[in-house]
Order: sequence, then C-alpha cells, then structure tokens
Amino acid sequence: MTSGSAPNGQFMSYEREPAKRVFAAELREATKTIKDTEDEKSPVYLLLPTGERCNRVLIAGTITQKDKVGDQNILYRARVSDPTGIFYINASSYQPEAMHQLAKIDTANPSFVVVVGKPNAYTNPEGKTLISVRAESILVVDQEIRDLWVQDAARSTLDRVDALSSDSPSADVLLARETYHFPPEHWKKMVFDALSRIMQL
Amino acid sequence: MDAQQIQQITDRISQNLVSKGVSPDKQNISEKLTLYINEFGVVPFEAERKVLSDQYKQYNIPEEAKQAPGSSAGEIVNIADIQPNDWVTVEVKVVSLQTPNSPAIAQSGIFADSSGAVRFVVFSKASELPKLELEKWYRVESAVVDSFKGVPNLKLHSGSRVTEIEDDRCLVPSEPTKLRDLKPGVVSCVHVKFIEEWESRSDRMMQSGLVADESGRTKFVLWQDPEKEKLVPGAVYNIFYASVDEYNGRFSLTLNSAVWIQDEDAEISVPVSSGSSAPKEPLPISTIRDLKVGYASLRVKFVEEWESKSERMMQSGLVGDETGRIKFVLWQDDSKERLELGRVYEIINAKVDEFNGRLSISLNPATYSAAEPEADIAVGTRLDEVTGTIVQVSKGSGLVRRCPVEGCNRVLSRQNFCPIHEIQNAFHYDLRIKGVVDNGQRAYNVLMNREVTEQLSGMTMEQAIEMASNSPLGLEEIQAVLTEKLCGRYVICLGNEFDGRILVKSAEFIHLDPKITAELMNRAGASAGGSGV
Repeated sequence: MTSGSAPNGQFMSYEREPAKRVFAAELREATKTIKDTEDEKSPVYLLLPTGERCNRVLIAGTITQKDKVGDQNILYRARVSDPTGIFYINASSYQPEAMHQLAKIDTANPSFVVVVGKPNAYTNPEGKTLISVRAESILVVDQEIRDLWVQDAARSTLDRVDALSSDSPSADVLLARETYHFPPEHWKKMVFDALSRIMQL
Repeated sequence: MDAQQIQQITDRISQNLVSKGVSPDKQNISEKLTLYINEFGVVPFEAERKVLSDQYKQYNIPEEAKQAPGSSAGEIVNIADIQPNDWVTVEVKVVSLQTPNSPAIAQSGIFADSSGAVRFVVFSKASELPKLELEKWYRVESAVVDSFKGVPNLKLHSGSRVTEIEDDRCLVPSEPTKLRDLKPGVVSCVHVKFIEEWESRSDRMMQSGLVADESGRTKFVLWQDPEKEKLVPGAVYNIFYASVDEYNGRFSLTLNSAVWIQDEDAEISVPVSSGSSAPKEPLPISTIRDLKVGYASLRVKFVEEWESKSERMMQSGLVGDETGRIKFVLWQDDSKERLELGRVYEIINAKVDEFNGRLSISLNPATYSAAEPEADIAVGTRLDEVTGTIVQVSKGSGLVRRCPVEGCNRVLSRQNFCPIHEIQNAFHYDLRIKGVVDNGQRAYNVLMNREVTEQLSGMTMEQAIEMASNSPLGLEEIQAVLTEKLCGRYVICLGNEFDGRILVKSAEFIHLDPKITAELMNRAGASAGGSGV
C-alpha cells in the first residue's frame, strides 16, 4: 500500500500510517521487516503472517504487569494479554505521553487497556525474533471497548486471511506466502477462539 | 475456561507455594485465576505467572495473607441471589430452549426457580453433560455465573455437573413485574395488554409492537419461529420468561424465549402517553435535523429512490430538506400513491421510527401531497461518514483562546499573541479536538468543534475552564483529560472533508452488538474445520 494522498502544492501531504488490528498470537509470529527504499527516513514495516505490512498497531487487552527500568533514562515495560497471547509493551522518555499514562496505571488489579504503538522487531543472540510495541499511548478502558476491539481485530484478521488466499495476490501477500507457512485455518481458529472468549448470551 | 483446567493450575501454584513453606489458599488462587482468565480474557499461562508472582509478594508479608470469601459449593442458591463470578449450585426448571447462535454453544435457554429466572448456555466442549430437556427439573452443580452488561447468566462447562430431579415439582411463578420496574435479564412474569402492532421491517421478524400495563409501555419483538403464534392486538396476556434487553436506555421484551397465556377476563387501563399513538391533529412542519421518535410533519424533496427489497414495500428512498436527509418507507397500501422523484412534498403526521440508532419515517399513517409544482429545496449535502478508533488527541486540542478581532478568530499563542493582531488580552475561549480517527486501513484527521467535543467528553467548556484554572498544567490539562476520555474509543463521525481534514458535524460512540460476535464466529468457524451454523 502506498501513501496515496493528493499532492498539496509543492509538498506531498504526509499520510499517517493506519494502526493495524492484530492479535498477540499473530504479532508474535512476525519475523520479516520491509523497507521500501534505502533512505534512512523510509519507514520500516513489519510484515504480518497474514500478509499485510504494518508500521503501527492498535491493540487491547488486560495489563498484567508493569516494571520501571533504569534511573537516568527511565523505561517502562508492561505485559498486556489479549485472548490469544501476550504483547510486550514499552514506553521510554522519548514517548513522554505514553510513559506518563503507563506510570499512572495500577497493576495490582487487572484492568483493560488500549495501546496504540509502533511494532519493533528485535533478534536476540540465539537468533529468535521478538516483537515489542513502543507505545504512543496506553489508556485504561472498559470491557465494552476491549470486546469491540476483539471484534475489530477478528474482522481485520479474517479480511487479511481472505486476501492471503486470493487469486490475484498483492506483492506483500506473495512475500508472506514465501516467508510464513501457516495454513489459513490456523488464523481462523485463533480468531474463533478469541471471539468465543468474549461470547455472551 | 472450565473448572478442571483452573483446578489444575491452582494445584500447580499450590505445590509451588508448599515447596516454599507456605500453606496455599486454594480458593483465593482459584478465584484470582478465574478473574484473570474468565473475566479479563488473559491467556492461561500469563494468568498463572501473574497469580504466582502475586502470591509470592503476598507471603513476604504474612499478616496480609487474607482469607478468601466463604465458599458456597454444594449449597443450593436461589436464582435471584446469584452474583457474577460465583460458582453455584442451583435447582432449576428449563422453561425455555433456544437455537444456539454459535457452534461453540450446545444449548441455550432459560432456567427458572421460584425466585426468578436466568439465561444459561451449555458449551459444546462440555460434551459429557446430558442434553437438557424443556420443562424438566435439574440440579446443576459448579455452574459459573458470568455477567454481561450487569446481567447475570449461567455457563455450564465441562467441570459442571447436571443431574435430573425426578420428584414431581411445580414451579410457582412470582407475581407479575410492572413494566416500570423491568430490569435487563429475564422477567418471570408480566401482565400486559397488546396496545399497538407495528409493521414488520424484516422477514426475520414475526411481530412487533407495544405492550402496556398500568405502569407504562414497552416495545416487544417476536422473531420468526414456527412454534410460536402471533399475539392478538387488544388482548391481555400473562407473559412468562420474556427476555429484557436494553438499548439506548430503553427496554424491550423479546418473546421467543417466553410462553404466554391470554387472560380473557382481565382489562388493563393503559396510561395515555404522547408520541406513540397517532396524533389527531396535523402536526406543524418540523425539520429533519430536529426529528425525534414519534410523529412529525415535514416539507421535503424526494431525492433518491431505492430498489424495493421486499414485495410488501411499495417504495423507499431518501427525502431531504435544508437540514439533512432521511430514509422513508411506504408499505403496500392501495389507498396510497407513489412519490415522484424530484418533487417537493408536504408530509403530515409521518411516523418516525428508530432502528440501530438511525431514524427513518414511515409514510403509511401520513397524508402527503406535492401541492406546489414549481417548488424546490436545496437539500442539505450528504455528509462523509468515518467509523473507527480515536487513536490520537493531538496538540492544540482542548481549551484554546481565540483572537477577539472581528472576523479573525485565530487561535492565540501562549502569550495571547495573534499572528495578525498581536497581543490580544480580551480573548474568548473555545473547546475543540484535533485528532485522528483510524479504521485500520486509513487514518483520518478530524476536527471536532465545541459542541461535538462537549457531547463526546461529557465535559462542558465552563467545566474545562474551571479545571484548567485549577491545574498546574493549565490548558494542557484539558488535552490530557480529553485523551484519557476519548483515546481508544470507537466512534462514528459525520462531517465534511476540507483540506485533508474532516470537520465533524456530529459524532457518537459505537456500542457493542453481541450479534456481530456470533456472525464473526460463523465466518471464522465456517471453514476452520468447525461446524458452522
């Protein structure tokens, strides 16, 4: 997907990257990053196993832990669980707003949060790629918002899975088919299980 | 997650604690696990890690090791007394069974005892449980009380036990509940008169309308079901075990779970209320923007005709006036004439309905004519609609000071400096949101004016001014408050795009519709090897 906004005078108007709705169990499996040009300002995208690139994510879940690391350069780390797994969240003094928001959240009792942030891939010395999310904002919400997000993430994931097995695949879909080897049913089952956790009468 | 799995994790944590020399409080551990896993949707391994780490913290300070609330295992609980998160044993009669709307659910319906009634589900995974039969009594052990929007419901999982009660019991229904006193859930009995039948808007709907008792009136709906018979308008009924739903603060009864008996001798004097029954006099002309549910007269242009989706529909489409557009419907009726596209009509006493938060008008009870052949209306432009999540409340949101010079109105800097008119200390305040609404495919810049900001945040400009003057952060406090109240929320915005930014005319929060969960489960389950419904 390209930035398609109309040129505005001599400046190209900047188009903000949309936030992809992705479950923890899918984000965890992402290993491939994409850069369109060698230009160092060119954004780095993470290729999701379902075949869309992402440079920003919207996630929701329950915050289960929060740790403050460092004295001079403070960094907060947090764990957020959705019905499929764990997201690793961090916020440093480079994201002051997110850091203040996270600092205020009490983790003695569970609460639902929504996080907007940038996914980061890090390969550890053993060669395993770990994905964390650098928060731009993290806010406490109620259960209704979390449930809306599970529906939203379910719909988005199913849409991506449909496109993944399309007869006229995009370049990203082709790359995903080459890189990741999950059958579509794997993701459909993940979506089904996530929805059944919020299923109510 | 079922009780057995919770039990296994509880045992693992307990053994770990025993090895550290403390005697574990299994009940407390199990409840915490249930809270994290079943209420907060945390994955089991993460819940196990969290609860174990909390237990470690707890036992470093022994005097804080608190006693868990008393267990009610084995003791029979009245339905009226069950509380969310309890594990309960109940003795109940199956008074209603419905077709489950998801393959994950084996059975769903309503249990009743003499104290009340509650919805239940039996999960498909709990395959060892006997199939429940209508009208039979059962003892149900270790059912989990879940809650949805504050309404308790019972979940039967593979750890629950169900035994049929053979002795002949009778269920004494409670006194009828007054409509005024309805609560979401299941109402054991109401004594009502069927006062108004409505046109069915969908093939799935068998009947809908209003029922009333001395205390008030309530909408009801009966979905298509070959086992059910329609109610007779004007008759009085005792209706048992109807489901009570709440939508936009109003209650409605769904009768598919219910049984009813006509009470032939009874008569109910129904209080008169305005709005629901057709007015006797022609109402004055109002504008589309100001419409409310009830009846209204309009002067509108017929701007868009839609293809009829059903044979019963004579015509439908959009009519508009200077303030906006609205959908209209005309049901088959030999005494009515079709509207002519492009003409202006005066419509007297049309019925205004609400469906899924959107208003529409029905022309069947109305009289209408295109009296002025030359008349035209500049119909309000169609607004762009953006649905998504507010992912950012940007800098410049909140309380701003504006330049007081006639026709300027620019936002002043911190020092009350206008880029054109320099220092202006006689500024006036304004409240706004500059933000981003993101639907996962595209991020839209939005600008919300004072009215929309006040409505979404529930904070008036006066309150914002007071809050800012009491905060060390000053105006920045308001941006932080708006972020906290609105970021992450799902909204529908209507407005016009201008220079890459949507000027939002109106916005509202999106609310959860559980039917969508079921639809998505069907979509995911249809080809995921599961048995789609």
